[in-house]
Amino acid sequence: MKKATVIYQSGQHQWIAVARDPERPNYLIDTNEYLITDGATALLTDPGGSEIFPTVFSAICEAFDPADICVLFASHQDPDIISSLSLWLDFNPQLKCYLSRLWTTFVPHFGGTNETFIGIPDEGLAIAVGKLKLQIVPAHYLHSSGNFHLYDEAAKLFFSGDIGAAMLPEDMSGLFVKDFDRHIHYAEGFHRRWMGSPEAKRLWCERVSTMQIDMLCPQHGAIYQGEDVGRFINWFSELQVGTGLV
Amino acid sequence: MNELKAIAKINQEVKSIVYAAENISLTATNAILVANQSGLNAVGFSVVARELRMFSERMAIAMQGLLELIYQQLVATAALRHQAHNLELLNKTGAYGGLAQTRIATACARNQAAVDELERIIESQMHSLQVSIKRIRKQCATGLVIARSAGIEAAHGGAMVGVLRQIAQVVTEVTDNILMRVKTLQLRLTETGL
Ligand SMILES: [Fe+2]
Ligand SMILES: [Fe+2]
Repeated sequence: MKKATVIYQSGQHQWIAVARDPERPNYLIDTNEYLITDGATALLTDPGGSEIFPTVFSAICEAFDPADICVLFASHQDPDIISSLSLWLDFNPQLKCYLSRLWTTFVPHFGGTNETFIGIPDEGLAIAVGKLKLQIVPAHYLHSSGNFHLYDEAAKLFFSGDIGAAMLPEDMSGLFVKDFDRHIHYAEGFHRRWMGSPEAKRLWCERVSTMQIDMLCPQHGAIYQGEDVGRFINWFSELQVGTGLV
Repeated sequence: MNELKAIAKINQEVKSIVYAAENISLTATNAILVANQSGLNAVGFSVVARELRMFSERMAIAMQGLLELIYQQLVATAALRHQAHNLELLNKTGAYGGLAQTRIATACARNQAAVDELERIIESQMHSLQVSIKRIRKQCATGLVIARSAGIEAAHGGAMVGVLRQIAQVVTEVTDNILMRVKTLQLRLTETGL
């Protein structure tokens, strides 16, 4: 089963990672969900696929009352990101979901109505979750054509969706990156193939380089912290992507 | 066979009946024209041919209604499958026990109610389908009587007797075929529990 781990805390302000499920059937890609809360209310990033809803939900229950989750954030439209939506809405029909305006008529195929979605404009958006101020940051074409990340300036934590993802072997099941050089080897193939635009990648690297980030939290694999954040951004900026070749 | 597959199969069968009924309509129109050419001798046949055309029109309407019912059944069955899968996942969430079980309980109950409601809708639609098929079977039996009357009336067709007999024969065969298909359809509905 998945486990909820508090990765940041300052008073009531928390980031809780629901990550790395060792019992997950191997035909499902492993995902990380992050709950960002000010104590009274919370946002859940990329709530995951429908098949893993039971384990995500019950892991969250151990750390937070899911009834207080008021909003979901979907970085893009993939099934591993948001196909659990109809189950979340079964649980709380009032839930809202932030999603690129590009996908607000696609994702309702997974669930939800006109009332559910808040379309994010291409340039991003500043949002409030309780007393917290979060910045929705554009990351288009990385890998989806309507793609966003989430920056929490107060916590200096950055949710990076599929960027930073690594398909790690079983013996590297830690929550955080321990050995960057070994780790990045498992990220390379994914980034080369999934990230389609060198220009978008360059813009993203420039943008995030100006941010203060203590942890870069991807939707798959381990979390980069401290020096590894900069290492990752440098590595990514130099990686050749989007050649159009398989 | 799963329900969706069964519905698709039934839908195909209904379509084949629609096609056969269209054939009767064409043949009946042709019969009316031929009877008109035969003049006074074929007045009886002409009346029966008109009845046949009316029969085929009634059949077309009935089949349209049946297709509509089957479509509704498809919609409800697909919704049920989706809802039942969600229910399974919600129950699995509850099976973790502890806080998850308490917190998901309302969603489980709400979802179970939705599943129950869909099952009730499907059952009531199934009833409508069976009633509709029974009615169509009766209509077919009447159609067969009309087709046989056409055979009898053809004997008074004067010079056109051969052609009229041939038409009556075709109509009887097609109506027979429809009746057989409707019987099969009724059987399949019972078999699949739809
Ligand atoms: Fe993705
Ligand atoms: Fe992903």
